Amino acid sequence: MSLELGLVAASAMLFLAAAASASLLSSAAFPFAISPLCRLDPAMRANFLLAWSALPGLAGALVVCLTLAPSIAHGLGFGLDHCHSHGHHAHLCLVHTPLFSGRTPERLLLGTISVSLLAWATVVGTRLRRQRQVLEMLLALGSASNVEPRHCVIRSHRPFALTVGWLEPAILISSRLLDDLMPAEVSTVLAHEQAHQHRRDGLRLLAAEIISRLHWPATRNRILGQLSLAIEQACDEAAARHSGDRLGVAATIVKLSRLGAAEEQAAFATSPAFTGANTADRVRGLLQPPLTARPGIAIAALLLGALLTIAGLATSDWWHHSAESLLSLHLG
Amino acid sequence: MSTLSRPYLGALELAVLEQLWRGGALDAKTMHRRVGTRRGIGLNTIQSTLERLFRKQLVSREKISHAYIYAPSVRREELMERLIEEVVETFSDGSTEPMLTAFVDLAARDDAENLSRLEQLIAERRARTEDDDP
Repeated sequence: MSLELGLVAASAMLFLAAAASASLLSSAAFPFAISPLCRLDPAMRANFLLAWSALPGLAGALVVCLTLAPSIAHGLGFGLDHCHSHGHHAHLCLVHTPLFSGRTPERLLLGTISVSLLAWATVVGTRLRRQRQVLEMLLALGSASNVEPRHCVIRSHRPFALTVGWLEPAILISSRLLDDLMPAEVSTVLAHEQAHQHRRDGLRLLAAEIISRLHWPATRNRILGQLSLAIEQACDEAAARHSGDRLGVAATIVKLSRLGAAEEQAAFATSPAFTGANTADRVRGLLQPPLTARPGIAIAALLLGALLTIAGLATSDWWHHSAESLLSLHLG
Repeated sequence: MSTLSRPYLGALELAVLEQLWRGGALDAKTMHRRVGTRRGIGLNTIQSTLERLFRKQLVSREKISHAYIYAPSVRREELMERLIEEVVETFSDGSTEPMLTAFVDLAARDDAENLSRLEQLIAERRARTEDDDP
């Protein structure tokens, strides 16, 4: 018996089914996860949230890999060719299944996926290219400051500070901000931006923006919102360590928010910015002692359990046959 | 102004514009001496760069004798402000990037009352800290 679909389309279907299931589970679990996550050190919370944003994609990739595991193992020389045991249901393996069946349903499926991916990549790529162009121009028009950390001063009546770029981020500070803040406050802002620079938060946000696409929109918005907050709080903590004055950092955030509100400017968003995320949450975070919870042992146990389960599934053939049976049930 | 709303200027265009902001009106030959020679760029490239800037309405030109004299028609601050507006718009407009939608939801503008409450909280905490640690 053969599938109506080739290996590529069947794998795509498995991927999408697993991603949709993981996305549903994520939507159900995320509201319960927020509270424990908020007790974590913000830098660790940001890492967790970034990993969470990738869950549907990871689940999809994992299911496909587990399904193909017997033939991958056979190809690598440490597994037996089990294909002779097939015949009662569809066959999904790298060795014998053709990549494409050439049938109309498969063409429709792959065509739809390809066109959707291409359209999305074009839209996002165009926007990112334009953002990069604008930021390159700003950097060229601004004046470089020799004050550490190195930053670029932009002449503007708007008070802002932001870190831009993915691999080699640059700090942009407006002349208005430098005029209106005290030297200690400017130093706090620069320490916050430098933390964004060291952590490459622009790259994290871009990665989250891309890998979280398979979540349901409402859940995705919440995950990305929490991620932005965690990133800002991680940099607030870095600024507080730099200045040794948590309340001073909180006061600077409020002062800059007030200046921004007076200018009726929208907060800068995807680029990590000094007053980007929820001001009240950040200030309240700074009024508390620093969060230090780093559940290293719990994470290690969780990862070990996951790895053992994956290894068990990969070597048992059970998952492989179940996936084939499920596909056969739905596709004949 | 329509082209200024979404300008994109390459490195050479910016260098030429910068020279016009610094040195005032110039013809292509003088511009070539000041910008082109140093970069190993020919006069034709400088002329086409000035032409592009003219088409983008970022410079104006006047024919004096046989040569065009180019002058900036946009101030540096005006161009920067326009770019910053675009940054704000791009990074904050929920309709542009889905990710920004999430952020804008979170980044609801803080009204003066909320900010005053936060300032009060900070002041109370500072006073308590000073009392505890005189």
